[in-house]
This record gives sequence, C-alpha cells and structure tokens, in this order.
Amino acid sequence: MKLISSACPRNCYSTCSLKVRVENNRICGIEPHSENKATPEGPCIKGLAYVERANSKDRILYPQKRVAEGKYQRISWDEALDCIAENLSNCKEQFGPHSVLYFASSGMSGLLNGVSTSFWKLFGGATTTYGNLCWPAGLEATRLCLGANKHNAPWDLEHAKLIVLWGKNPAETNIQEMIPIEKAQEKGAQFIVIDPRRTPSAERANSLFQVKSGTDAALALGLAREIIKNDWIDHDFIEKNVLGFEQFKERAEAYTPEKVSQICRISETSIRHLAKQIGTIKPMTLIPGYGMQRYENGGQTTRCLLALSVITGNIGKQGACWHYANLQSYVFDDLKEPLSYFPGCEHPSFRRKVSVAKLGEDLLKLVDPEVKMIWVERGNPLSQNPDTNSIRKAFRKAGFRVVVDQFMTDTAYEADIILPAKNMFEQSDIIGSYWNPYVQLKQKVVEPAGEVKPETEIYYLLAKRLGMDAAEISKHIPAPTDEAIENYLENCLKKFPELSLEALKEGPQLANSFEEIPFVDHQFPTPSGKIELYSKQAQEMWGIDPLPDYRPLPEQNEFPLQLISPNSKNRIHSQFGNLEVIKQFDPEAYLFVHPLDAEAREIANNERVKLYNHQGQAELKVQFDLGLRPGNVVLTNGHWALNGASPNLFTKGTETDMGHGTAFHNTWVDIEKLQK
Amino acid sequence: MKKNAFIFNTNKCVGCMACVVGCSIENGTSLQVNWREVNCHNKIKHPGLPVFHFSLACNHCEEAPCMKNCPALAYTRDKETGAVIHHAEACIGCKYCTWACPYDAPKFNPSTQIVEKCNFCIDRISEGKQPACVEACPVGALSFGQEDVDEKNHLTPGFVNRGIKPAIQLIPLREAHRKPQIENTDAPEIDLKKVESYLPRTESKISLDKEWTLVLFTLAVAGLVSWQAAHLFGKADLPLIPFALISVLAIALTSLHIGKKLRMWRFILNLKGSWLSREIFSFSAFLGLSGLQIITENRMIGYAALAFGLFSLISVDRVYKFLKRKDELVFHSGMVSLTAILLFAWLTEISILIELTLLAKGCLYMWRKGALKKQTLAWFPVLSVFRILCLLLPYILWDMHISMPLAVYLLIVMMGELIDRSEFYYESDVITPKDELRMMHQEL
Repeated sequence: MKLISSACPRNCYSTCSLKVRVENNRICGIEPHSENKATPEGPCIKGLAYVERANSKDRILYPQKRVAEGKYQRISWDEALDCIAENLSNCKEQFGPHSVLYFASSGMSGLLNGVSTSFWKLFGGATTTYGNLCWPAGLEATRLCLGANKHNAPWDLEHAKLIVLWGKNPAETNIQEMIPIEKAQEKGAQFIVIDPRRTPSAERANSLFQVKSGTDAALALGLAREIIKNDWIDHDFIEKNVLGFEQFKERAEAYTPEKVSQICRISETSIRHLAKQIGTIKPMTLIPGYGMQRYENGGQTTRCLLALSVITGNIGKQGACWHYANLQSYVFDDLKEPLSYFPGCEHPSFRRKVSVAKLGEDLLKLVDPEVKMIWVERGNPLSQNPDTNSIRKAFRKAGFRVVVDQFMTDTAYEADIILPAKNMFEQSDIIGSYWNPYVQLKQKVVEPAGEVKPETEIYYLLAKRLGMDAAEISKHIPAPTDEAIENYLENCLKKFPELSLEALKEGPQLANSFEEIPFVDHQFPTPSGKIELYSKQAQEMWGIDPLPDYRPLPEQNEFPLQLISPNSKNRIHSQFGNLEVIKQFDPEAYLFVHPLDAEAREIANNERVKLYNHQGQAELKVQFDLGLRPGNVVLTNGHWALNGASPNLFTKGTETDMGHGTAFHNTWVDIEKLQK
Repeated sequence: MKKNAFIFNTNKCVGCMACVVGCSIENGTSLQVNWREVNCHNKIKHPGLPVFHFSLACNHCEEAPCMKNCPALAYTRDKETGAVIHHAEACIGCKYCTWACPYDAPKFNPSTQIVEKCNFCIDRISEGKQPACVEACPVGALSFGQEDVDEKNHLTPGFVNRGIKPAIQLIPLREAHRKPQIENTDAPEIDLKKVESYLPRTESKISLDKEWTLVLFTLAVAGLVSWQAAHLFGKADLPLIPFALISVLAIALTSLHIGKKLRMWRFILNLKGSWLSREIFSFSAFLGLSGLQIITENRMIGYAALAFGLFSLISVDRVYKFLKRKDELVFHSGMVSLTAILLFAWLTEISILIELTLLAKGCLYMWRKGALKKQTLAWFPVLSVFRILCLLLPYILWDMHISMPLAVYLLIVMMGELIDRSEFYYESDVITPKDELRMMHQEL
C-alpha cells in the first residue's frame, strides 16, 4: 500500500490537499493532508467519492463511435484518431480552421491544459468562446475597485469579529471555511448571513437576512447610507485610499431604510441594526458568494457590497478583507482572470466570437465559416451552459462532434466520437486555487485504466497524424511519457525557485509572492492607485454607471416563479452526481418549492409536476422547503437530463453587466400539476 | 472515568455526510447498509426551529442492550478499547438487537441475512489511528478520544437518552443557535399541523405486514400452553396429531423470522440475559415435554411442561418490554399471558375466571383506545367494536345457554385475540434517533 500526496483539481474553492491510498494500481482510499492549513481535516464527500469515481464500472475506458442515437460501440484508437484527423483536415481545407469549435471548460484544472491551446494554435487556430460561466462579474467588479483579486489567507478568518456571508453557502460549497468561522464564533465573533435561502451555513449564523433575490445591491446601498449617516465610516482610510467617496455618498443617499425595506423585503429595524453591526464591529470580513453575481445586475451588485468593506476600512487588516476570490496561487498565468476571459486578448489565430453565456444562440448565428466540427473537453455544455435546447440544436447543426470525457454525460451523448478522458490520478499536473494560497501537485498515482489516454497524448498523436511540424510538436506538446510530462511541469516552475517539483510531490507549497494579508501596504493596482468607488474604467469598458448602482431585475408577468440554481454539496457543477455514493443522498433532480406556491397550484409534497418556461420544460418531483421565500423555486446546479433536468433547460443566454459572466438566475418559470 | 468515546459537536456539523461515506469505504459496507447515519432535525426548515444534525453510529454503550438481549451471544465487548463487537459467524439474523438498540446502530443486511454494525474501527484505534468516520469529517465536528462522558448532555432534546451510558460526548447546540433569527417581511404563518404532514414518514421498524408471523406465533404459544393447562385440569383432551401440527407450525413461523435458519440452535444461548432466549428455550422445553407426556401419558411430565409453558408466556411478554407504544400504557390487552388465561378460562369453563379476564381485557382495550383517540392517532372504531364483540359474544351466548360446539366459541374468541395482537404490533415501534428528532416539532 502506498500513500501519495495529491490535490483535488475540481472547480471548487477548497482545492483540498489529499493523500491517496493506492493498492495494486487501484485507488482505495482518500485521506486528509494536514499540511494544507486551509483544508487540514480533509476533503468533502466528493473527495471521498473519488474511490468510486476512479473505479466506476460506468467509466468510459475505450474510444467509442456512435452507431445510433444514444448507442455507442467500442472502436480502436487508430480508428478514432483517423476519423478525427480526417474530419479536421477536411474542415480546415474546405472551410478554414475556424470551422472547428474548440470548447473547454473547468472540468479539471492544471497547467497541462495549456497543451490543448498549443495544439489548436498549431492547427491554425479554431473558434473558441469568451467569458466564463462562473464568477467574472464579481471578479471584474473587484478588479475595477481594488485592482486585483486577492484576499486574506482562509485561516485569517478566525480573527474576524464580524463575519458577513453574503450569498455564499460554504457549508455546501467550501466546507472547510466553516472551520475558521466556527473558531471565530468560539472567540465571540458575530456571524451574519444574507441570502434569499435558508442555507446550512445560515444555521450557524446569529441572524439570517432573507432578502428578495436580486436586490442585494439595494440593501448594500441602504446599509452604506446608514453607516455614513451615523458616521461609522473610517475617515482616515477613506481619505488616504479611496477615490469617489463623495459621489458614492450621494448615490447611497436615495436608499433610505424605508425604501430598502420595500425593495429587499426585510424590516427597517433590521436594516438599521445590520448597518450598526457592519459599521461598528471591527475587524469585519465580508464574504460575497458567486451566486449573487449571476444576475444581470451581478457586477454592479458586487461593487455595492464591496463599498461596505471600503468605507468601513475593512481592507488589508488582520481579520478584515473582501473575501471574493484569491488568485494568489495562479502564479503561472501571464494574464489573470477576469482579463483573460475578454475577447481581444486571444492569440490571433483564434476566433473568439462565441459567448459562453450565449453558446447555443451565438453558434447558430455564426457564419463565415459556420461551425462544422465541435471538440469538447473538460466540459459538459449540454447541462452547464444556459439554454440547453438551443445548444443541442447548434451541436446537431455541426456535422461532427468529438467529446473527451470520463462518463456518459448529456454532452457525451451528442458525440460522434467519444474519447476516454484521464482522471486526476492518471497524470501529474500543477494546480492553483482561488481560495487557499497554495500551489499544488496532483500526482499520477496509477496507470490509466483501460485504454485511457491523457489529452496531452491524444493531441500528440493527432498532431503526428495531421503531419504537423515535428519541431513544433516537440516544443509545445509533451511526448506521452511520465518523464516528458515532468519536464513540461519543471519548465513551468523554472521562474519560481521556491517551487520545486520535488517539494510539490510532498505537499502544498506557497509561492514567494504569497501575502497572508494582501493590501496591507495600501497599494491598489487601479488606474488611480486608489480604491475606486468611482471607476471611469467601468463606464468605458462596460458602458455602466461609474458608481456602484442598484439595477432592479426586469419585472415579470408571464412566469411568476424565479428559479435559482445554487450549487449543492453533492456535486461540483455536473460532476459526481452520477456516482452511487452520491445518488444515495441525492437520487434525482428535485425542485424545491415553498408550500405556499405549491398549494396555490394544488400541488402536494413529493408530487411530480411540470416545470416550464419558453426555454424548455421537464417533469420533476417537488420537495417542500419552508426555508425558501415564496416566489423562489430552487433546482440545484449540475443535474443531468437523466436525473430529471438540469436548470439550464430553463435559463436564457444572458450575460452579466460586466465581465462576460452568465446570468443564470435571471430565470423565471412556472409549475403545473400534471394531469392524471 | 475516562473511556474511548466519539465526540460530536453539534455546532460544527453541517450534515455533509462525509462521515457516512468514510465509514462505508473503510468497512466495505454496501450503500444500502450504512453503519453511520446523519440524522437531521427540521429538514423542512420550519422558521421557528433550528436545523441541526446528529451523526450517529454505534455508541458502544456500557449497558449495551444489543449485547444484553442478543439470544445468540453474537456480541462481545473488547476489553482494551471498550468496543461492542458483533460477530457475524454467531449471528442468526433474528433482528432482535435492531429493536433493542435505541440508536439504530445494528443494521440488518438483507443480502447477507444477518446484522452488522460499527466496530469503533477497532483495528484502527488499536493502532492509535482515528476511526474512519472521524478521519473523514472535513470540519472536525466528529472526533474521538479518551473522554469523561458528560451524561447531562445526553438529555439534550432530540437526542435519544435511555440511560445506557453511550460512549458519546455530545456537545449541544450553542444557545444562540437554538432559536433562528430570520428577517423576512414576506414570511407567511406556518400551520404546525400542516408542517407535520409535510414531514417525510419514517419507516417503522415494526409493522404488521412484516410481523404477521409473530402475531400467529405468539397466539399459538398462548393456545398451546392454555390447552396443556386445561388438559392437566382435566377439561380437555390433548391428542398428539393436532398438538404436534400446531407446534410444528409455530416453529416454522418463528424460523421465517430469522435470517440464518441453520443457526437456529443458537437462539437459546443467552438464557442469562435475553428474554428472547428464555422464550425460545422455555417454549421448546414445553413442546418437547408435552410431546413426551402425550407419548408416555405421564402426568408429572405434563406438569413440568406446563411450568415451562407458563414461563414461556411471561417471556413472550417480556421480549417486547423495551418497545415504544403509541398508547404509552404499561399493560396491553393483547398480551399473550392474558390471551392464554382467557383461552384457559374458556376451555375449563370457569365462569368467574372468564368474567374477570373479560373485564380486565375489555377495560385495558377501551383504556388504550381512549388514549389513542386522545392523541388523535388512528384507533379504528369499527374494528374495535368488532373486537369487543368477539370478546363479549361468546360470553353472552354461553350465559344464555345457547348450545354450540366449543370450537365455535373458541373461533370467535381467537378472532378477537387476532385483532388485539395485530394491533399490538401495529402500535408498537422501536425508538430511533430519527423519530426522536422528529418529535421535537411538538415542542413548538
């Protein structure tokens, strides 16, 4: 038996360090890795589920060819690669390289993903997407205001005296954050949650402010007004570090407690009380979630919230920070997020005309050339990008589709050729985290199962087949040996003498650039060098108000229920939900409904209903939830069609106000009793 | 005194289920039979009540009822670690421990037909490691160590407290978290009755459809013992064939109830501690001696048989003593001892005994129905009238000297007893952590 240090490469805050127990080339256990100070007690249920995931009988182990709708047949690698190479050559010759869509998402992080980009460059380019499904509105809002996305180390949270969790539910999505929250509470800290849902995290809070979804900016402005009016602001901090305070003060003036109470649907007294807490308890860490910025007004909402940390001087101190995203471990990126999402920064060979938020719609509109072939890796757009039906239409319009995956996802079922994807245990790679500050090595611990080949090897073989220049290949695409992979990674590490591959093999490492408390020096890389409450850039880049602002969501008449699709503890986006160990707790896609909304439609608990809007419809079981606001329904993110429905069957391709994010929660639906 | 114990901090657990999965990976259990479970209070999220969890497996109680009650001696305690260990090879799959344990720790596995349960990860803790569930907890809510268990905390509402000294240091919810503070001006009033109807029904461990074999078996015990008694009293014949037929049927019925039929002999190994062992032993002795008596026609053997028979009746009633009944009364009109007395009274036609038993059973029956009705629980009025009729009708007919064969009287009596005994199983249940948490809604 061997115990090997590794790390979880999923698109998740925690990015846990792990120790993998291996016996006879088989993963048989996942143990905690205490050297990661942010995840000392080990991973969540999904981390443990790797034992099943790695050994699952449902895993795709061989190349597959579609023989009929939903039916696949095993083929050899030669046949698969010949077929793909032929299609690639045809597309390139007849329509140009941009007739191929290269779609990759966040299924597995790692530096080796750069090899994919290199391949498509060598191919002569491809069509790719811009924007991001997850968090860009908030990233951009933070960048515009503070100049960079970084926050105090996760363990610093225990020093906070006031913790405000705004639209984040770490108990499910970042479970180890509950450790410092509990430590702070043991030391007497106040803990407040602001969320339209009563979440498991809210159970730990002193109070929950259950605001109407999408109105957070109004609350933040209202709180700012009270804080300013009562002179709870940090004059010294503002004077030295803040641009645009006076204009912001004027903006906030209109948001009286009476008005905010009407908009957000919480009492005036509670607004005043909350303002007093935020204004007077120091240090405060404000932790906004990513869900709240997945509305059309998400960027501006984030700017309004951030203003509260700014005017109270809760930036760059122990126990005080704006805790949105911590990109400190992304030391290898030349261009940091969100800038790397924006069209215009890509290599000239790429055509970046497709918004991830509007994937289906944009693909269908695309001409000169139209997309004739689609390549998908590390992603499941059929369940994860908005408006599934239009994406399916666009996918079927393209002549030929290749999907690289470990399991038969909704997207894999659209493929003509499916290639078996590696899992995290079958190839070493270096990963960062957007919460903890560590650079980590996820190590190869077993040989690939069946005939699985890592993407780097697939590209290597394809490049050879396509007759690409041998020198270019050896420069950009590592040969399919463990040694070549290690060389590739060591090459990336060259600039960082403190980060050796040898040390990374033992556990998580910190880069020299790591700051436990960023902005402690009050250096803000914005155009003015100050924290910009007033941002000219915001106006220039996104055509929005230079000041933070509350923009109400559009009025709804046709569909009365707002569908929100938060993440569940049981999945990372669309991964893990297919495993038996997860299904025992979360067997199908339930629609959570307040009994008032259900009973108004004569729907009983656990009854199957029709959920619909103009985008799509599905039949689901409802589950009553008294922790919702009437008018909100919840379908958690990441279900596959075979579980009932993914929320994206109902979402519209809408971008956020900044950052090219995706406004998933701008979704309204209705439910109907099924006719017996 | 310090002992190995789980330490569970209610303030830290968020109900993530990692402990359940950590346990199942370590112990290779099937997903349908998790040794550890996380029980949630207020899953529906009633705004007046907190949502919290209890992660529970075996608590390795000092006064472990599983071990005490197991008829087959399949449980032992490991002296070094204090772990209560279940031995698969000794288990007969009678599920009696799953009734006896109020923490729902022993789990019956339908595919192996025996029970299994948490073993404190005895191999791991002997090596100085943590149990797998503890290691798997990502927030440090579940830990393990040498503890002076504070039994006062076992009184925490929602936690099962039976005074059996469970090895769990329970850290209750902080005062600030016991009453949720939720701001929402649109929050509707919630009718508690309705909330009750929204809550998922927990599956009852004892239900009539599962235990019908026990209804028939226990009635057979009452019937056979009273028959023997009436015979010795000189009021009834005891022919071999019918007596043997019913006996064989009764034994067949019990065997239906156990997972490992070839290990049935182990049923009688725990005469010292288990009423179930005593029941099976005394009833077997009763049957054996009765058979011998019929063959040898030796009355002395008959009296010995009867002594065992009477003891088996007491044992049957004692077997069910720790069950929870909806009426919460001490005596039940469907107790087998009462049935046996009633049948004996009819067989011997001792009028004073018939009258007294009718009175006792009738009063107990109505008393119970009253209690059920008061709690607005199902009390089946039509069936109740029918049951009372079965009790009274034979007496009225007999009192009016309407001549009918005894068999007809007995048939009517037995029909009533069948209803009463069926109701006994229908109304009985096992205490479980889930139910205990569910009950907390009544506090509002």
